[in-house]
Amino acid sequence: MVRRTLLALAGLTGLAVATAPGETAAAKPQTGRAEALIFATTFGFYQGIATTILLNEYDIFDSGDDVILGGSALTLATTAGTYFGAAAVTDRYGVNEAQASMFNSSLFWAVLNGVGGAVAADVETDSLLWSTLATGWTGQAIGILTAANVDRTAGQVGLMNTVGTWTGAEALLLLGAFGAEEGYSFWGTLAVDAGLVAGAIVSSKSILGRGISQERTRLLDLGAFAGGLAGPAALFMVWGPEEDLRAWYLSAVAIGIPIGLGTAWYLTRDYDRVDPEATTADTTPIMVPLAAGAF
Amino acid sequence: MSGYRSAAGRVAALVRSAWVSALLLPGLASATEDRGARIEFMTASTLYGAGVGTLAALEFDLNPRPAAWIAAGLGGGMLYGSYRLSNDLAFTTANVRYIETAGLWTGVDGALLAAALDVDASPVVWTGLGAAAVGAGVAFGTRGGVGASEGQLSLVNSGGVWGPAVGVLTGLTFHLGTGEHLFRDLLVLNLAGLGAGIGLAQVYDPTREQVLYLDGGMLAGGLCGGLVGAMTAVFVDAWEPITGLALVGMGVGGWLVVREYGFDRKGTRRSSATAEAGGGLSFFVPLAGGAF
Repeated sequence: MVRRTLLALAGLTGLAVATAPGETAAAKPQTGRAEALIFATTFGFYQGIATTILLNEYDIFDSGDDVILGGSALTLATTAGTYFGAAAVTDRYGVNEAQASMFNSSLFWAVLNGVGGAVAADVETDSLLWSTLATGWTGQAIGILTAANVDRTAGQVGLMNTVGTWTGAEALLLLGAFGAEEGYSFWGTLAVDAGLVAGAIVSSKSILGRGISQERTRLLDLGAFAGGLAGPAALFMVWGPEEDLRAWYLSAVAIGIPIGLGTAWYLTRDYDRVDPEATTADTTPIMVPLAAGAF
Repeated sequence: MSGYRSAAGRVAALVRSAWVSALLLPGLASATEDRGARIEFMTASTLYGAGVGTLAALEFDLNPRPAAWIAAGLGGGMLYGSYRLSNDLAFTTANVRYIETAGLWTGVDGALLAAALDVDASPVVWTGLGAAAVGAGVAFGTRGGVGASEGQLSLVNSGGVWGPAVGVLTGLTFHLGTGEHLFRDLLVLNLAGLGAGIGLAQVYDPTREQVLYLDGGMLAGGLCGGLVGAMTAVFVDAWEPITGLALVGMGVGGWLVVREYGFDRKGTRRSSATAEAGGGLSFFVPLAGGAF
C-alpha cells in the first residue's frame, strides 16, 4: 500500500488511485478516470499560469515576449505533465467513481481553504498564489491517500460535499444578516471545514448516508438552492425592493436553504429505494451548475 | 409596521401552503418512470417559464414587485404543468434532450436571424423565445417518431457549438470577412455545425460520454494549440498563429480523444444503457456541446 501510494504521489501532480479495499488489482476500474483526469489536468493548467505570474512578480522575465514564451512553455509543460502522469497512474491502478470524487473533492476544498485563508490574512497576490498552489498540492496528496485507503461510495462523498457547502453558505448568510463587517473569509472557510467533517461523519456513520446515490445528493443541493431563492423571492414579492430590509432578505435565504434541503430530502425519500442499481439516472446537465455535490 | 405584519402573515401563508403542497407530493421514485428525464423536463420548463416572465417584465418596464410575481407565476405554472405532463405521459431522457435541443437551437437561431436583420434588442429576444417555444413544441409533438439516442443528440449539439467556434477561428486566421455581418455569419456557421452533427449522427451512435470526451479534447487541444501559437507569434511577430494553431490543436485534441475512448458507429454499441458523464465532467458541461 505504501509503495502504491508513493508511486501515485510521484506521478507529478499525480492522481491517485490505487485500488480500494475489497477490489482486486486485476479489475482496474476506470469509471472515474475521465473525471479524475479532468480535475487533475485543470489544476496542472492552473499551476502553469500561477507559476508564470509568480515568476513575473519576481522579475525573472526580462520582457513581455519572455513572459509569453516562458509562460506558455511552462503552462504546456505542467498541463501535459499532469495529464500524462495522471493517465499513467490511472491506467496502472484504475480509479472508480467514488475514488475520483474523493480526489476531486479533496483538491477542490483544499484550494478553497487556500484562497479563504489567504484572503482572511489579507496577503499580497504572490502569497495568495503560493497559498493556492500549496493547498492544491496538499489536497491532491490527501485525496490520493483517501482514495487509496478509504472505502466510500460516490453518494457518501456527495453528501459530505453537500453538508460542507451549505454549512459554509449558512455561515456567510448569518454573518451578513447580523451586519458583520469582516471575518467572512475566515469564518466562512472554517464553517465549510466543519461542515465537511460533519458531513463525512454523517455520511459514513449514520443511516442518512447509507445507500445514498450521488444523484440524490445533487437533488438535495438543488432543493437547498431553490429554497434559498424562494425565501427572499417571497419577501420580495410582498415588500418589493427595500434597501433597509437587507438583513431580512439574507435571513430569508438562510431560512430557505434548510427548508429547501429538508423538502428535497422528503421528496426524494424513495429515490434510491426502488432500484438501488439504477444510480446512473442522469441529472447532471441541469442540476450540476447549481449544485455543489457535483464533484 | 402594520404593513409589515400583514406582509409577514402573507409570507407565512405562502410558506405554509407550499409546505403542505410539498408534503402531498409523491416521492420521486417509481420502478417504471425515467426519473432523470422527468426531473430534467420539469427543471427546463420551470427555467423557461421564469425566464419568459422576467423578460416580459423587463420588456413592459414593470416595477420589481409585479415583475417578481409574473416571473414566479410563469415559472411555477410551467413547473406544475410539466409535473402533470410528466405524470401522464411517458418520457425517456433522449425524448427530453430532443425537446431541449430543438428548443435551444431554434431559439438561438431565431434570435440570430432577428439580430442579422438589424432590428432592436426587444424583437431579437421575443423572436428567440418564440422560436424556442415553437421548436420545443414541435419536438414535443414528434418525440415519439424520432429515434435519436442521447449520444446522437449530444453530437448534434456539439456541432452547433463547435461550428461557430471553428468558423470564427478560421475567419480570423485567414482574414475572411470583416465582421460586419457577424450575426448572419454566426447563424450560418451554427446551422452548418448542426448540419454536420446531424450528418455524423447518421453514421455514428456514440455514447453521451464519448461526445463529452470529444468536446473536452477539442477544448483542451484548442487551449494548448493557442499556447503554442502564442509562442510562435512572438517569433514571427503576427497573431495569426494563435488562432491557426488553436484550430489545429482542436483537431488534434479531438482525434486523440476519439483514439483513446472510441466513437461508436451506428449499430455497433455493445450496450444501450444510458451513459453518464462523471460528476466532475459536469463542471465542463456548460462549455461543451454534449451538455444537453
